[in-house]
Amino acid sequence: MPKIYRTMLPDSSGTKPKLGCVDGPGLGVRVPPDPNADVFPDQNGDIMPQTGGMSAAPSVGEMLPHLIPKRMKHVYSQANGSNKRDVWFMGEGPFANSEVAPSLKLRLTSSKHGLVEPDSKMPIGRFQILLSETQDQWRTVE
Amino acid sequence: MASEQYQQYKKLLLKLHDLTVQERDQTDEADAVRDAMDAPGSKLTALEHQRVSGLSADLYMLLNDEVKEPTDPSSTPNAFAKFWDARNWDAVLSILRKQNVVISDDELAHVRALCWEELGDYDVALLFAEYAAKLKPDNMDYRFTLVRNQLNLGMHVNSKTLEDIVMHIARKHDLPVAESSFLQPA
Repeated sequence: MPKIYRTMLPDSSGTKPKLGCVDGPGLGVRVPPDPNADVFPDQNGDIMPQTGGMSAAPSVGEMLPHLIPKRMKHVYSQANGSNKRDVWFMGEGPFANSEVAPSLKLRLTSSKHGLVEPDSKMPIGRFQILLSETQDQWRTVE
Repeated sequence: MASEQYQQYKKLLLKLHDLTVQERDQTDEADAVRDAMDAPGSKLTALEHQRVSGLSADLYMLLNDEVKEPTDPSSTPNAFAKFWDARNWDAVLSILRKQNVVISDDELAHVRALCWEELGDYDVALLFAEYAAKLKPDNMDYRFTLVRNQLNLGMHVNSKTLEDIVMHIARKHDLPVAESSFLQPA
């Protein structure tokens, strides 16, 4: 299982990432009509592997600057992210194309970015549930 | 030629910088900009990713809030000269971010302007040239870099400024240009 990092809002407990991507990034994907949709379900509401998913990075330092909370600028000089958001991680293996959780696969788009996608065609609702089921595995880096 | 996703990401990063200048970078408006950066950001190549990360760090200089990266023994004047001669602008910019590189702020801003200009990022180069010229208003080299990037971006530059710059270059290179004559109408 690869070690992956992602910037998300905390849930009300503050100890876990928020579920869903309504009102800010959480554990899930954005869908149309969100202008920044991560996936585009077909007319039956299904999504396919290798067509989009939930973004992840191999380390905090390799995240894009807008995703690193600005309060971490003393360590990551490029940080220009929202201080309302936290950086979370899960897993412990190398950042490579591999299974993240049952039916979820990491697909690298570059050495610094990957997408957690379904490993087979599935309804968007099922995909969101699978992502939410990883909630207890995430820890904050701070 | 920079990719479309690089241009989109850079444009939004500069917008975020503007909001930071206005102390509005921790607002819902800024978060909306960040959310729009996800899509182009996810398509960047590793080099483009490295470049926008460096740009984000460099922009803090304009706010007098730059955090230098840890000392790197390989960031020497010789390495700087080697990368400069090789026109490896990303490597030159990387060296300039290290704690052990001692250079005045105006010179640093000017060298950054030159590097970003060479990379074709005239909008970024203009910001650093403006900053260098602000720190040393009488430095004609800084003003020349500033005007050059304004012209690169298709901006209007008044004729008196152009005349000053051309005369400066002519004097610097001992060229026989008659004072104020070259801009006279035929």
